[in-house]
Amino acid sequence: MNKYISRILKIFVFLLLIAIIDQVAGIILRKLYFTQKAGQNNALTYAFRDCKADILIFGNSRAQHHYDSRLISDSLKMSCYNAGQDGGHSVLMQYAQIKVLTNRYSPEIIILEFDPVNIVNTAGSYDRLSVLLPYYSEYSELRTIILLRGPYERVKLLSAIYPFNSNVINIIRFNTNTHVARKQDIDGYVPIKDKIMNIGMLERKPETDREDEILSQSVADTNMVEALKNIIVLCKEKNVSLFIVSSPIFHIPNEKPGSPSPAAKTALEIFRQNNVNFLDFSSDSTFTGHLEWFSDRGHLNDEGAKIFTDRLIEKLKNYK
Amino acid sequence: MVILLLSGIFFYMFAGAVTFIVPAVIILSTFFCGIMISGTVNQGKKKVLFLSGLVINLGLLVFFKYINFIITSTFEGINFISKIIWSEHVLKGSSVFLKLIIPLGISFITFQAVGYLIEIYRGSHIPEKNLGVFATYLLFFPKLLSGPIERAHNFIPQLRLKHELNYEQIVEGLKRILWGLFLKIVVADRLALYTDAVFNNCRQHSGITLLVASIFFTVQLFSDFAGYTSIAIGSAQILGFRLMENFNSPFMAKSIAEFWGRWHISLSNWLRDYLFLPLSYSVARRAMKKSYKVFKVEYISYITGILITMTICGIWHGASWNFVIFGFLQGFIMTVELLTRKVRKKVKKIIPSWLDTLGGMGFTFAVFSFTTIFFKANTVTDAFFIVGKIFTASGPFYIGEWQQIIYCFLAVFLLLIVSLSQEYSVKKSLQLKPKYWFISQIGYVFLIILILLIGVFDGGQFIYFQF
Repeated sequence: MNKYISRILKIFVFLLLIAIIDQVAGIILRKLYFTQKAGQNNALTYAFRDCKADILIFGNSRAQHHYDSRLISDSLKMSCYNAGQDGGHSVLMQYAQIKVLTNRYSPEIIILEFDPVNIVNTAGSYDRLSVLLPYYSEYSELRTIILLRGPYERVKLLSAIYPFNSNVINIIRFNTNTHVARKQDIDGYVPIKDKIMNIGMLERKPETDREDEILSQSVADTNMVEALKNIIVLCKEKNVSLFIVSSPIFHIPNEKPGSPSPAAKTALEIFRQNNVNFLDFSSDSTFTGHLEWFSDRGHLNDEGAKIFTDRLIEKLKNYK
Repeated sequence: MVILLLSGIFFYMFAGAVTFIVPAVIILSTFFCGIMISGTVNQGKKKVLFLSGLVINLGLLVFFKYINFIITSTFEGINFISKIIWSEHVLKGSSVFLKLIIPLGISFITFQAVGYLIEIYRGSHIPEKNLGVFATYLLFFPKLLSGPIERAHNFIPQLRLKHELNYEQIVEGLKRILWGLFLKIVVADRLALYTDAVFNNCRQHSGITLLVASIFFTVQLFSDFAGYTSIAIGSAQILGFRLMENFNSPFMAKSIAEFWGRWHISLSNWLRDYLFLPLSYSVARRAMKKSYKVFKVEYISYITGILITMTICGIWHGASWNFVIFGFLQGFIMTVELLTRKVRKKVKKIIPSWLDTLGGMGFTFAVFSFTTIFFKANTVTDAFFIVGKIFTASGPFYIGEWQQIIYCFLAVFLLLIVSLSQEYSVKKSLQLKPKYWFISQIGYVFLIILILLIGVFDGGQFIYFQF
């Protein structure tokens, strides 16, 4: 055989081999991904495909661990689901979730847990959108958001395996019964049992202070600001009552409040312009100094979450 | 060659056109100094020209890379001394910090230029007369950012050869690139997720967590740099160029001295030829004149040479006291190895060879991992804190996400298997190459699938880019 034809044939066979294995493995992974019985992926799939709750809660870990869905549901006599996702997501993730869900049905109330850092492009903000990759082919409304991850995302998504990158072990784990449900999941709410034992546990490092200083000067990311505005518009269009909430952060008594970052100012301006119901509990004096209600500086434990949820319910009742 | 030179310049300008001024000055000064040194008979004039070239090259390196470190260290040093003597700081406020953009790969370009000048000065090489060829040698884009630190006499002759695209070379080059991607994406970036989480919050972690993170970081550092080198060699191979190998299974080394002969070989060789040997000979000459009795002259020259060389090697890696300590420790361990050579020889005779090999490899890996704590830690204080905590603080092992830690161990395991097979398959002449082409390709397909499946696609840049 002519050596050029032989080489072309070899390249073709090699690429074909990769394509076949990639597609077959991708099909298997897709099948297994959507049959997981627990875990974050399962919660996301449930929210996208099946959830029909009247009240939906969105946000990152602070949403997931701070809003007791059952308390809200019992008090307001409406079904409630906490769709908060652990992992320091930006508002882009919440916009993606709200976009998919409101396309399927219109909930009555959406609560969006918000921190100004959610509209700041911190390290990995866009990378974290990778949790949406398995849904790329299924939900066309997610594509523009997913493609913000990088200029080569479309190329990477030619692979059927890539959307499930780094998910293999969780897929296996949550498809078998060998896993132990370590975290209690009540309609999406995941309580934290840990407590801050003493103020020493909150000892700050110079690096953390520097990071906080940088964050306090950080400006809002254009895409994220756009996502925040789109959430507000979407809720108005679908006639959904939107509440943007900042849940408590641990403060010691008499702590001087820092000046708001440019990102925070941008967010407040957006809320004001759009008449958004913004409930700010971040410096709520009820929680000041109460170490026993926090698991760390930014997260309430189960006890704190219940107290906060009660306070939120009172506010929501006023709006009803 | 014109295309290569333009791609090098474009590659450089991509990071900012202004930063290209620095390599341009290095290229021009080295090129003309080289020609003038070679054309001068007068030894004094030769020396002046040589020193001028060195001052320009090293001056730029020191200015851009180390000036802030020098200013800060001087400032803190004066305050430290004044505090002891007068119980108060003489200098108030904080030290000046110059906002400089460090030109990409400046350490690599400078070392290649300095090496070239030394060879010309010694008379072992004739200078390159074509500025384009010389500039292409320093700006060859696959090795521009992180080496290897290629010698002029290895590389410049290749630029004069006619290069045509060669199917076999392209295939081999692509294989090297694939292996490099595997090292970077599957191993290094995966381990970085764990090591960054631990080292950036070292005060919150237990001794066992810090120990495991230190071991992971050593593997990460190797995979990151060896991955880059593999991609650089593969890219050059596609273009028809051969770059020198920079790694030779370093974790199979049985001593730190052997380790540095297998790790970042181009830097080790450079330091050996242009710093350690001249320094050791110079010390030996002086020591012989003074006829020391306690230590043999060779010991004195070796110890002085190795301590200075390895400390400079440390500083080359970065402008901070962490790297100074990292380098000094390498030299110190090599000194201990020299002083215990006789004892170790005796022990070697009475223990089985496999135990000697395993013990040596284990010792080298453990000691190097220990020193990399200084490489990775954010500050010297953090580094000492971590060292102290490893030996004293008990507590739970930090896992984070289960799947992350499993991927980390899987990555280390895969690397270990490959390293062992690379080290022993050649020596024992194991024929691992399958007879049929199709079967041999399965391995590469598996590698690609593995990258897609467990690679970290959102990882950071190569660690050695900062040098």
